[in-house]
Amino acid sequence: MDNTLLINIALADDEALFRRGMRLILEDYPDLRILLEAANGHDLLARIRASDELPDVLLLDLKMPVMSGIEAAEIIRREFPSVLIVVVSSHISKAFILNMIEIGAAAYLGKNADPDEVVETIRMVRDKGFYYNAAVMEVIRENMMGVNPAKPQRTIETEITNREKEVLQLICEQCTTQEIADKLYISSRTVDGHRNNLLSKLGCRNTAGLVVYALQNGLARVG
Amino acid sequence: MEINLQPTEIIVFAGIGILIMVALALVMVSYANRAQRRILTQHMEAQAAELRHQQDLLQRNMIVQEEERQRIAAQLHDDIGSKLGVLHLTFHRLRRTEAQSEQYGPMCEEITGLIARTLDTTRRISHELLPPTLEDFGLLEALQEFCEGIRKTGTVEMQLEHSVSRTDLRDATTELNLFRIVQELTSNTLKYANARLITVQLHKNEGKVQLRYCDNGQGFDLENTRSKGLGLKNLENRVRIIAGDWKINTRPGQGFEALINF
Repeated sequence: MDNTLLINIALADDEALFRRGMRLILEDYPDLRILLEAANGHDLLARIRASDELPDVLLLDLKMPVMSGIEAAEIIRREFPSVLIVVVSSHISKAFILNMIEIGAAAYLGKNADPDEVVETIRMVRDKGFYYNAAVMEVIRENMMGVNPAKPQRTIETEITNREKEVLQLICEQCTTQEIADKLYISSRTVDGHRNNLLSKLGCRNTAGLVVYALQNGLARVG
Repeated sequence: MEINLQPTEIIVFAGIGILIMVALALVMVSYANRAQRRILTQHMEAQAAELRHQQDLLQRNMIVQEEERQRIAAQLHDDIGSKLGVLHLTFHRLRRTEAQSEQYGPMCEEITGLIARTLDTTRRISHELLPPTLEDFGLLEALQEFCEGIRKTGTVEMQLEHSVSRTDLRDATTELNLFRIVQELTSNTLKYANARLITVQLHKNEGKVQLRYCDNGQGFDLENTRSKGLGLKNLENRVRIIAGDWKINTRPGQGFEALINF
C-alpha cells in the first residue's frame, strides 16, 4: 500500500474492549492503520508526544477518567493542529456537539454509529479536513437560528475577496479540493492558495476551524 | 376581754380581708398562667423541633434520592451503555461475515437493530435521571436543551430567557435543584394546566437571582389544592436546600406563576 494513502489513527477510549472492537474493525481495511491507543486524555497526550509519527485522525471518546476528551482535544488543537479529531461519544446532545465543533473537531459521531459510518467518516475527514453528518449539521443550523441568529459580522469580511468567499462556501458544502477546482474552473493549486489565504486571514488553524468560523459569522450558508 | 367593734371597723377589717384574698387569688392565677404559658412554649418548641426534624428528613430524603439517581445514571452509562457499545462493534464483525447468508443475514440485521435501540433506551433513561449537559455545561445549557425537548414534543411552546451567567448560579447543587424545580413545575403544567406557553426566566434582582416560571394554563385554587400538594412540597424543600424563598401566584383561569429568589 502506498504510504501516502495510509491513514494513521489514534484511538482514545477508557473502555479497553471498545478499543479492541474498533481496532479489529478498522484493521480489516488496508488503508487504515492504528498508530496508538490510549485509555484517557493524559495517556493520549503522552503517547502522541512520544510518537515518531503523528496520527492523521484521532478517534476520541469524551468521558474518560484522569483527563476528559474535551480537555485533551483543546490541548491537541493547540499542540498538534494537523491531527483531525473525530469524536466518538455516547453524548450526542447539542451542547456537547457545539462545544466540540467550536474546539475544532472535524467530525462528531455517536457511539451507536454504524462502524461503516466510522470508516467513511475517517476517509472523508482525511480528504476534506472535516465531515459533519446530518445530525451535526442540524445542530449547527438550530444554533444559528436560536440564541444569536445574527452575530455581528466582523469587519474582516471586507478583506475577503469574492473568489475566496466562493471557495469558502464550497468548503462548507464539504467539497474536496478537486471538486472546488472543477466547479470554479481553476486549478487545485489555486484552490489551495485561496484556502491558505482564508486560513491566515480568518486566523484558523485548519479547515474545520474555517467552517466553524464561516458558519458562525454568516460568511457561508449550510444545507 | 371583750372587744367591741364598731360597724365601721368591721367593714374596714372585712375589706382588708377581701383585699388580701383577692391579692392571693391574683398571685395564684398569674402563677398558674405562667406555668401554663411555660407548658405551651415548651409544647410549641417541641412542635417546631418536630417540624424541623421532618423538614430535615425530607431534605435528606431528597438529597439521597439525587445521589441515587446519579449513581444509577452513571452505572447505566458506564457499565451497561459502554458494554452495549462493545457488543455493537463486536457484533458488527460477525454481521459482516454473515451479511450474504440467507439463513443468518436477516437475523443479524434484527440483532443489530435491537442493540441500537437498547443503546438508545439506555442513554435516554440515563439522561432523564441526570442530564450530562447539566453536569458538564451547567444549568443554562441544560434548561435550553430541556426547553427544546419540550418544544419538540409539540404539546406546548417553552421559552427560556436569562440575563445571568454561570457564576450567578453559585454551585452544582443549586443548579441541580433549580433544574429539578423547572422539571417538576413543567411536569405539573403538562399534566394539569392545559397551557400553550411556558416561560422560564432567570434574572438578577436586588443582588439576588430570581427564577420565574409561568404558564398560561388554567391555573388552580391554591387554598384548596391538597392533591397537587406533593409537587409544591418538593418545590418548597428544594428551595430550602438552596436557601432561597418562594412565592406562587395562581387562580382558576389565571395561569400559574412561581417566583424563586436565592
